Amino acid sequence: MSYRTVIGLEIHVQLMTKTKAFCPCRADVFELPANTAVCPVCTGQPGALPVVNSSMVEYAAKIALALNCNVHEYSRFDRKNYFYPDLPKGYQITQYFYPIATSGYMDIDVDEQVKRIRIRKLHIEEDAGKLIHEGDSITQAHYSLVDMNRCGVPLVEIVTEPDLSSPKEARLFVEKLRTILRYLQVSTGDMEKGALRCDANISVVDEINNIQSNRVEVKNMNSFRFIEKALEYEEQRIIDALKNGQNVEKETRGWDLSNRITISMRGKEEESDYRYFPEPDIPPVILSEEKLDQIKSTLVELPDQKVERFVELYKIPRYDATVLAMDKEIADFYEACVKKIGKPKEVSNLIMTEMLREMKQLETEQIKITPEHIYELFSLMDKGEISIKMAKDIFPQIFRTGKMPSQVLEEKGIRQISDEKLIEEIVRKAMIQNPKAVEQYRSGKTNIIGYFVGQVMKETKGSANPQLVNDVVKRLLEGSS
Amino acid sequence: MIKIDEKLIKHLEALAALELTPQQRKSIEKDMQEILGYMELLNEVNVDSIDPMYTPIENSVDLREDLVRESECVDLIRSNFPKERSGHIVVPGIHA
Ligand SMILES: [Zn+2]
Repeated sequence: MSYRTVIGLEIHVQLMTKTKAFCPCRADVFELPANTAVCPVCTGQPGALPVVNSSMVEYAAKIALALNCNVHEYSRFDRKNYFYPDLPKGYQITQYFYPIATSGYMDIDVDEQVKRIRIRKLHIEEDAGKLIHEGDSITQAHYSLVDMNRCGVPLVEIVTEPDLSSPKEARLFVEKLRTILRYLQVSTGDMEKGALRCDANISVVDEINNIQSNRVEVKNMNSFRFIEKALEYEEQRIIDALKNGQNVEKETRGWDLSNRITISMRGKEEESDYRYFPEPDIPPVILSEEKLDQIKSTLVELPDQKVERFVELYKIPRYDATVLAMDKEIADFYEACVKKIGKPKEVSNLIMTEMLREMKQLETEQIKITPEHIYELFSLMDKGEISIKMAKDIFPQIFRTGKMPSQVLEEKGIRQISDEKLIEEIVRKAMIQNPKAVEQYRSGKTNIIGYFVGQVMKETKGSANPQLVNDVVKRLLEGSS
Repeated sequence: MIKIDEKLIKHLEALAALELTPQQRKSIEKDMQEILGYMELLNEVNVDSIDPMYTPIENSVDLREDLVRESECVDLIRSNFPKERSGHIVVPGIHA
């Protein structure tokens, strides 16, 4: 049996403009008390007139350009009509007939291969409010609480073609998209806070019998990990059905975090009828070529371009460059370090293994240290004052406290001892205390050397330069004082 | 002309989140037939060679600068909540 999975994504990106889409209320409402960032426009009071936020259009155009879309000079807004308590106007303003951008693509790296995922369209719309359901579930709630702060916060919706062929590819796509959004500084891309929301359409084709399953929509996947987990679960559920000669319902399912399964979100799936029509209160948005060129000129170097440049300029493996470029702050940090230190590969090794591991463990995206810290660490290694192992040992402490490497070494008292005199002294003492062992060595049992090296290491708490210790022990035992 | 019958009225009723009595349905069915019948007049105009006009504004319009301005009506808006709890509007539960 051979099955092919087909996945398309619909991703909502909350833009980090200062104000809402069509009114001057604050858009950064995540932590505000309920219903405090509201006005007649975003609460749908009769007669209130929406006015398009210029930054919103600019940010949407930036995303569209970064995703290689065709950005349209002419776009406009439409009303999507439906009733739900989080939508005070009774309709959502969106772009249905003339979206701002269409037909783009984004490349993702799948197992060291580049795969191109086409973007069908990208449009601007407004967010709805927030509902809190009292009770165990939506269906059991006796009442719900509405917060309209989020009403009218600008969103960009990105719709891909069904070009993704595994849950992993879906996750990689959203991860890369978030990287791009952060490079552009148009969204926090924070999935946990709902700034990046992903819905997926998944179906499976039985290639031998040439049967395609119904398409299932999966929602509520609010982390990268859950995107992959939920789609893996759904993929398997569909394959199991096909194996039994059955099909799955064409329906919307949600990821149930506590049970790690997807569950049907529908009671009655009535054919939706949104009666889209042009928003009469908002004139069309005209994005002149001049304006678009100006936006283009403000685009920063994007991850793909950065990877190319790192490979070319620093001669590091593409894999390294890709890992570093995933986060702009890390990429910038890397470059600053290499500019000071040189050694592009060594620096990339340290950042990729030690620093990224620390960041993952601490669940932080903040880099509290500076390139100065890394510079000092490398200087200490160059001078032979510490070994690479010691550098790695103390790295967590440097990273967590922000203290300079020399300070950490001093506090821990673990400087690599490269002082030949001091080492000689310790070896001499050990020889006096163990004349027998000296005898043994001199009568040909040369592997006793390990005993003396061990003594020095014990005395110095393992911080003596091992090569030097070896040399000194050998020289003294051989009696050339 | 689109067929106006009870099925359509019920569909519109659901979309509009309304609950009508059978008599109301009958009377709306009659009203709609008359209204749409009147609108049929428009079909007599030949518009084959004319693009639909979406807005009378043909030039590009200035967009709003992205500057926060808090509304003076926040309290007024909140005072209109039919039922309120800790700043939220209380609405009936959503039953699927
Ligand atoms: Zn507002």
